[in-house]
Amino acid sequence: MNRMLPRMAPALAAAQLMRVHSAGVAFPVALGALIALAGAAASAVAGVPWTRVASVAFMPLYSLAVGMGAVALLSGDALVELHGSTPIGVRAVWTTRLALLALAAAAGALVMFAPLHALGVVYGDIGWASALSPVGGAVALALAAYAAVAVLESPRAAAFFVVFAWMVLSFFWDPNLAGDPVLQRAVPLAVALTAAAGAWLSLGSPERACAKAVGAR
Amino acid sequence: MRFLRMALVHARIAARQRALWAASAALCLLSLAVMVNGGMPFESGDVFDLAFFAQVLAMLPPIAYAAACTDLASSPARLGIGEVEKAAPVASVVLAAARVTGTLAVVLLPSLALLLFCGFGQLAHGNLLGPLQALAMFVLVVAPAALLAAAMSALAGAALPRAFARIAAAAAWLVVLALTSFVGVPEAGGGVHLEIASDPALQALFGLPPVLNENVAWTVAPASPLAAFASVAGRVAFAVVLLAAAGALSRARGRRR
Repeated sequence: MNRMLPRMAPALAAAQLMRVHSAGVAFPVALGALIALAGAAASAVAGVPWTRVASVAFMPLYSLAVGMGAVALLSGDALVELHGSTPIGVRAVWTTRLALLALAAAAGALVMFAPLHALGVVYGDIGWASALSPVGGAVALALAAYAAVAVLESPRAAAFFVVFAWMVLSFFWDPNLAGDPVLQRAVPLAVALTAAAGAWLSLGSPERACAKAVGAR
Repeated sequence: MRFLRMALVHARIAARQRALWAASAALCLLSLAVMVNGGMPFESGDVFDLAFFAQVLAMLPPIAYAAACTDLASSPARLGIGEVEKAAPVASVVLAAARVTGTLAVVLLPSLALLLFCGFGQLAHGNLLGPLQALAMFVLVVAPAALLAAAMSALAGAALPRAFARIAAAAAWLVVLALTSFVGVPEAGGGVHLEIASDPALQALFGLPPVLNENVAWTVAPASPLAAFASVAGRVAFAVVLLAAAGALSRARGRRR
């Protein structure tokens, strides 16, 4: 492992934060607040039972937005060779960026969940443990985007893959496990972490990283 | 002939990415898996199941096309080869159309293959026109929907910054789906039940009921052939307009740089 990395970590995080602050950090939190506002307005206009059923359609959109934003921010960077030529390396930069995106996604999911939970319009709500569902979903899709960008060859293929993962998660996995948020999120997070670990290993070779979607393709 | 050769070049570029084939095939198989509770379209002789599958293929995979094709119109300006394209002896509209056609042809091949497979399955179960019906459904329902999703994506990619284009295009396609594909059927005890509306072209050609649920008895006049033609032609025309706007917008922005 790079011996300089612990000393450079705060500067690395600050540089990546400057790179992604508007679309990667502010946008997920703002989107979470917007969905919460829309849910509150719908429950005031159309009543709580209808909004609870409609929340099944609106809450997965947050994780899709997080996944698409992660694909857009992690792919197509023209400076990949530059990162690879410094002692820090491509892998540390991309993992820092992913960590910031995942943290912002989790924060935005909590911002979205808390007002809707207080109003009682979350479908299959079993208390604060249900927060694991939007938070885990957003983080899993961010990890899937990281894995897709590091392994596939173009941002278009990475976007295809992330939408496919979102569809499997939202249309097939979630509705069948609606009352058990721990199992509902444990398996997707385990799969996403495994994929991200494989991507982390693959990014260790800068030549291979420059040929994938992390570069300017 | 020249247009076909240009489209073939773009198709070959898109076909080189094995990940696109895998993801596209996976999306089509996912659309098939949606029907696993009802009847699978290749093990029944009913054209209704084939039409249901064609409509699911026109609703779900285009979410991915909308999210993925944001660089269709803006790639020459972004890559800096806009001037090279303008210097070519071909109109830039034709170049853009060849790029869209070539890429979409590769992306839609798994859908066509799976739909034809279901058509031949129906042939084995008594529906003698199965493969022809599958081909007609692909041309009338699946391909225009994919073209419209790709056109929305190209416009979002040309108009918005790269970080927001994919989300905006996917959200726009989901809004279009919510507004056009669902219809409220009045229930016996009052209240309204949401059902998937069947495509007007399929209603006129194959005599489908107005909603994709055989258990709902809703007496509404089926779509006339004029409405069917208007729906298909309107979608293609709207997609062409969006693609032209995306091309013009990306050329104007490229000039300002």
